[in-house]
Amino acid sequence: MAVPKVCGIETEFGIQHLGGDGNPVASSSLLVNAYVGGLARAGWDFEDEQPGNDARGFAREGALPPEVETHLVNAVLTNGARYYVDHAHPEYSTPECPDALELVRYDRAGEEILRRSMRAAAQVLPPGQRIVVYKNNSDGKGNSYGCHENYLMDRAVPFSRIARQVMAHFVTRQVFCGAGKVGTETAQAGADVPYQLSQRAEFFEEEVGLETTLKRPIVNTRDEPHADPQRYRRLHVIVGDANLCEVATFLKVGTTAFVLAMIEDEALGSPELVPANPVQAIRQVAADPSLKTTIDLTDGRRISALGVQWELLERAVKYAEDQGLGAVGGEAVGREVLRRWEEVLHGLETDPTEVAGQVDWCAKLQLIEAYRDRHGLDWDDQRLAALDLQYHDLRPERSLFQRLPTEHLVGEEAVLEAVGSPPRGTRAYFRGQCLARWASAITSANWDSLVFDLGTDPLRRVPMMDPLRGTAEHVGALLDSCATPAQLVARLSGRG
Amino acid sequence: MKIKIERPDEQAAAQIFARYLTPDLPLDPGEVERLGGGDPAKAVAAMIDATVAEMYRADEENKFLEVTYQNGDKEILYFRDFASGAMIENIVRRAKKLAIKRAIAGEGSGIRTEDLLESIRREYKENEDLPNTTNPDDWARISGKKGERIVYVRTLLADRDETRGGRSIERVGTGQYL
Repeated sequence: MAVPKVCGIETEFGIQHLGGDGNPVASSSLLVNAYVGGLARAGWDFEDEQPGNDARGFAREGALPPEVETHLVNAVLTNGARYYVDHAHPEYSTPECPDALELVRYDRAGEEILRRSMRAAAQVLPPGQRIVVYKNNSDGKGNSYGCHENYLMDRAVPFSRIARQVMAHFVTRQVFCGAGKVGTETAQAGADVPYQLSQRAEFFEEEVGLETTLKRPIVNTRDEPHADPQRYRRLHVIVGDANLCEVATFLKVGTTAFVLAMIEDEALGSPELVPANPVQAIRQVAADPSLKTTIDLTDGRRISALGVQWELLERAVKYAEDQGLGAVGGEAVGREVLRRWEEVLHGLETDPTEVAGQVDWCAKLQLIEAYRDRHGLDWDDQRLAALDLQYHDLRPERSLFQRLPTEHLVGEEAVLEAVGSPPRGTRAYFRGQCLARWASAITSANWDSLVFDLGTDPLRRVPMMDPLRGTAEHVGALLDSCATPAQLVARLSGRG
Repeated sequence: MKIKIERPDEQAAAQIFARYLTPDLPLDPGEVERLGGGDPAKAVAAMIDATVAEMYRADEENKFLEVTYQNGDKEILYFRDFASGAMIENIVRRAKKLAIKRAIAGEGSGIRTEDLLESIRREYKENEDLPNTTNPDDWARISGKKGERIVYVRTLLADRDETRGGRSIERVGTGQYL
């Protein structure tokens, strides 16, 4: 049985400092600082990390002196998330979530945190200056920044199998989770494509590899499990777009959890769906909003992206029947993923405008087509590119996305609750609760440990090597029974 | 650019040791007597033999890292897999320091074999030239014995002390909770 697909999303936001000096690192730091300044939080613990490894962002190589990095802001929030500056971007990493629906909630909470950050920054900026944040993946000038997903996997599954079997999904899932883009930015994608399904697809140049900012691979091999490395793997997925449509985020994560669980349980079935030329295929699919184009599989078949997705869905339905939904978010969420997966494929096949409330690229395309018709514009008109950017603008008064009647899965109140409180179903609960209660006694935190300063030597490191423990169920009563962090540390270790 | 430098084998390691651990260094008189019958050169040769044997032993105590290759294969790497001239030089330097410390404390003078053995362990523990274990990409450059890419590296060195800004950190057991 596959391990439950604990999941998370890291989003690097685009940033613009109106009236500023054009240093995105300083602007990002100011933004994050403005928010975390008054919060209960702990510093990030780099004990088990190599921040240099996270080289991302639109700054060209060599544009930033490396010493800048060490002064960047880095905070852990009471909702269990990490909020920090990654090179030239503010980045929000959701806490570990037990299922796709919960992840939608924490992804939305991230948007709210960025909005609050913009407001807080406006308070401290000189008159005439403003920091604006976009939830997108490219600056429109050929520089892309990421929206990465993470999934918990069983270490026993050979990586080569994951890489081979997940490829078809990564190449084709953009039909429902692409965020849409006017035009192209890279030579590989060509200049004659008016609109693409995906923001990120054209930036991928390799099939499998370790890099995230250069020669980007469709399957990323970074292997920092942030958990017990004997038991777990964290699959780091860099091939997705940042979504604004809640249903798109839900499906991106939900379907991927299904595919990964099936790979883990050797239940993906046959024939194996493996694109013959994944890099070419992902661009080809991105460049065709008609969804008619077909890609070559290694077994000689030619099949459309929707065709691949129908086959995956069919296999997922069978998997659910045979093995249940325990690994993919449980009964309610698992069923909902299957239902919406079918619905969105059907809609895309019939008429993409039907799913404009669920799929970002469809929503954006509809908006842009309408504007283009009204003003008789060519596809390369700068106003269309501006409209594209404004779709992702997180300022409520500017966001084009917010004006659209897209479907919501999570209530506004639940989102606001997620800004401050952790998910209950993973170790993020322990992290967030400890920070909310005893932030001043926590000297540092990271994904798999908290370090407490109890006022006496030594410092105490509390390891959290299992993302599936430390949940409300595991530690709720324990936390409530402790009045001080010293009591907590004593009880954790069975003394007191 | 890739520069491959061959790792010294036991024989080469002994030769490198001999360059840094010379008979004219202050040696523990007892060891000179016991190992060399009064002859410092003979004693040094014996000390080097013991040190190299310790350093090149492929057993539980000398396990250094477990690497995982891209295809999922795992391999244990030992101290010897990372031996280098620089490392050997450092080991001798550390041994000298240990001897000096002991002399200052009034506990006898001169380098002993045990200083060398102790220094091997410390050198591997503290060598900053070895890449951080969280960045497999660096390791791919160093080892990659099978020509496969290394995707995960786990340190196997026992009793690793944790310190932070001069304060030690104790790991808390977490029983049924975490």
